[in-house]
Amino acid sequence: MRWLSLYLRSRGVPPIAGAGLGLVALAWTPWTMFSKTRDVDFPYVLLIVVLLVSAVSVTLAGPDDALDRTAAKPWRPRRLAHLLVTYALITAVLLATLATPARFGPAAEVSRDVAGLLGLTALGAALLGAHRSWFLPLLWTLPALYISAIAGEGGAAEGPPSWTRQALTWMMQPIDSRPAAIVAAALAIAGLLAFSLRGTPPRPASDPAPA
Amino acid sequence: MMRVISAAETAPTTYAWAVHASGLQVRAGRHLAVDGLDLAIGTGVHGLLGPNGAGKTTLMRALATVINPSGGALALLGQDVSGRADLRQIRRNLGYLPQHFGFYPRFTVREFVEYMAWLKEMPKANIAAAVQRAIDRVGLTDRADSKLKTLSGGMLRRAGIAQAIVNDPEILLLDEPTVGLDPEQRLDFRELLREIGVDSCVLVSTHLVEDVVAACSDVVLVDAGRLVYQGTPADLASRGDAGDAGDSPAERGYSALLRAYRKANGR
Amino acid sequence: MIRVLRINARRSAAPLTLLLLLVAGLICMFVSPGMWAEGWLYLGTAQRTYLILLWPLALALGAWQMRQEHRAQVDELLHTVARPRWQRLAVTAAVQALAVTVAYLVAFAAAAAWIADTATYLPGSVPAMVANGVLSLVAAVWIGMGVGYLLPFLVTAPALAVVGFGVQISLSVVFRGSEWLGNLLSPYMSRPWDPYYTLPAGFNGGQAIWLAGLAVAGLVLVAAATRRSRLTAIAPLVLGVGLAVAIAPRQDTDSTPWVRDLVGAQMVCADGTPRVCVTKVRTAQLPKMTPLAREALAKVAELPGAPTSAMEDWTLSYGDGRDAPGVSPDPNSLEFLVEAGGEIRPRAGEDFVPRTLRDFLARSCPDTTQKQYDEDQAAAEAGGYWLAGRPTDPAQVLSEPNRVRQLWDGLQALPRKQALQRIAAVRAAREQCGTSLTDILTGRSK
Repeated sequence: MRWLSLYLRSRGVPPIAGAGLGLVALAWTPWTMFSKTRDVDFPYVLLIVVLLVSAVSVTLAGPDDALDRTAAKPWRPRRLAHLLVTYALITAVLLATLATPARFGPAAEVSRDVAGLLGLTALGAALLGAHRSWFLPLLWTLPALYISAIAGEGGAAEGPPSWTRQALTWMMQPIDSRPAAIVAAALAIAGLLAFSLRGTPPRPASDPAPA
Repeated sequence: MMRVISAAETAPTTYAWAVHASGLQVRAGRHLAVDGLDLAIGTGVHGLLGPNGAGKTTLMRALATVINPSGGALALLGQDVSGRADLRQIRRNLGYLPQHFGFYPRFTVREFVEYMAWLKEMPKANIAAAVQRAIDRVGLTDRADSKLKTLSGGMLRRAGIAQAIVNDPEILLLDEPTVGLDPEQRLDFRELLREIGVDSCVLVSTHLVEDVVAACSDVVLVDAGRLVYQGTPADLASRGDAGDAGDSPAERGYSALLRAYRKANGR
Repeated sequence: MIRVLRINARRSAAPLTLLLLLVAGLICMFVSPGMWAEGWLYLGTAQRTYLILLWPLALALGAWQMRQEHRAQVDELLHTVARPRWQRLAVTAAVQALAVTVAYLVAFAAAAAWIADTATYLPGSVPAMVANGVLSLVAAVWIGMGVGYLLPFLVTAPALAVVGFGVQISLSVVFRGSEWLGNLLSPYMSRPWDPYYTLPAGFNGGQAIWLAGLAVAGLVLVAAATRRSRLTAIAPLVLGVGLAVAIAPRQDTDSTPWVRDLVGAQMVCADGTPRVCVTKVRTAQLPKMTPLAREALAKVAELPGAPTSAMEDWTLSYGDGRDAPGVSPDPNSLEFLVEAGGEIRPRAGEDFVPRTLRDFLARSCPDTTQKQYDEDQAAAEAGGYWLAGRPTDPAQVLSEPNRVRQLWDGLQALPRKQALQRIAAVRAAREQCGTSLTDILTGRSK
């Protein structure tokens, strides 16, 4: 247990976990107080998910990559576990609200979106570095939300959106959308593999350590 | 070449000491790291010695106007700096290299030194020449246009020294400047220090006693936030004898002084 | 100073700001050119709608800049320099502001080059909209810097982006009853799909004041060293909102900030006779519309009291206070619609003549049954196609194609003179809503 707590502290997990819980509480409270419906509007749920995975991005690298690399213990299983546990925690917290007056659901869509967006974050961490890994989920979700909002105004009579559009706005699609499921699964697997196999690219040694 | 010379530049110095502290107290967090220190130094190169945790860095930070003294009196260039004094005039004539010096990794050496020159409010006309001169003096001429993040530790240290000396400061504070310098560079650096010490007050904090002996005209030894000893390197060397710890006369003198001081204070 | 600006411009996060905002802005613009291709007003407003994405991004990039500043750990060293801290940060802020300005204006210019030769009418409110768009981005990047300075964490940037986006989509919900206030406070703007609208100068002015207040608040947050001086950032915010609400004119009848642009709706006429006119906004379409409109005029020339000129009908009806001031149609003029359909160079309508002639015969009766309306519409379409001298096109007609065809066949079977008489009777019956146009057309009633 000792090394686990040391590991979590080296990655700054405790404050991030606190911030994440605080965030959900912060969104949850006004909804229970002011909203007439129990179900939180899905765009807001999605924004919360993006915030949570952005927060996770901080924990994907330690303060000194070079030092981490020299460790004798194998990193791959630990990075894998890091992502899987994170996924379990985020979905657990969000799904726990389903029993409360403000529900961050629906469960299936939330589980899919957390998986896809967390995978995207991990992929970003493996390619761009942990400190830039929030770029991808954010830059994908906001336009997708916007496009879906426009399409919603335009007309529901158009029938189901095209395959490409479903794939591009996968996080907004209902759970039975096959393109959305494929994209989410691909991102989740790619992120999981890339991050646990490769880790983050080392930052230049002369960069001062993050404070 | 002509330039406008401000009254402050031509005015005769009205102070006896570039740095004058009496009963100085400075906090590092809650801990009183400098506690009742009396110090008066003028032009020349002064070596600041002391064991780990003696308050050297805290003293340097107070002299560099990073932190305000919490007690006692401190005058830099004849001007009192405790309280709410206007530090701008002093800071124009200050050079400082912190122990851990932050930098913008994407700046080139020249850009970094130039930016610092601007921040030190140097006259615009002099900046380009002063920057080149500072870079030449620390021997980074051929790396002047490399980005800082590509430099090795020693080169980075020299870039830090270049920014400290770019404004020809009247007070130059260098906190462990020789860390990461190879032996050849350290010889050049000592030469540079002697040069600057001719008409400025240079205070160099270090753990390397031989650096002090070789480059300094004066030794300042502190322990537990107080002044232990101030004198010449030759005098320091004469204080020790064969029974003291150390590989050189100066090191033996250092050990002897510390031991005597601690004994006198019952520690 | 110039050197220092240049060093900052090259080495700070400003190039990243410029790149991301420019790429995002261009993608938004060129993903759907139909949003803005019709004219300057559309371009000015379309770019403002994309702020829903760019504005949160600018917030995040401002915070990112201060995060980099924090990571460089230069505070110790820079604390000892003579130049005041606010001057150093003012340079950083200026460079960031320059980056967002360039990004916004380049995206505008790229789209503007596309439409410059077809978009003839430039309302004064468009430069004001662009200026406010730029100002909103500057405010965003400075607020981002201010927050990023206070909270120099990695999560600050994405969190700000999400919050900025959430606030913008929430404003329209919070101010559901007042589109006016939502539009005033949000950089993002919703707009009517009609080129004959504009924003009053007072609205743009009020919005500029609010955005400037926001920008100043951001600067204060960045430059202020103490907690108390940071609190003064509230002053420009409150002042900005207060002045903006006071200055921006309110349309009393409804909540929209938009007003009719009667200058844009002024008529521009082609040389020669018969006279053909379009609005100023559509000037570029005039050469193409003129022969078509004249063809339509020629088709109805045999009718008694036939119109002698053709005018664009620009008064789209919303059925509320935004409607055009009652311009009674000139009985001597044939009205036609110009439909640009989001194209830069709209195709010359294949069915322009029959459609225009249909509208010439159609009537709008407020209290009518759906069945009666369909019948009237079918009669007008059959008459329109017959007048145009063409068979009905099932793909183009709006009513039931077989019914239209049946009516058209009926006309075709008649001697030309008699058919024209019936059509004239249909035209004459426009004013009397009790009658049935199909009965008149088939000769069942006179």
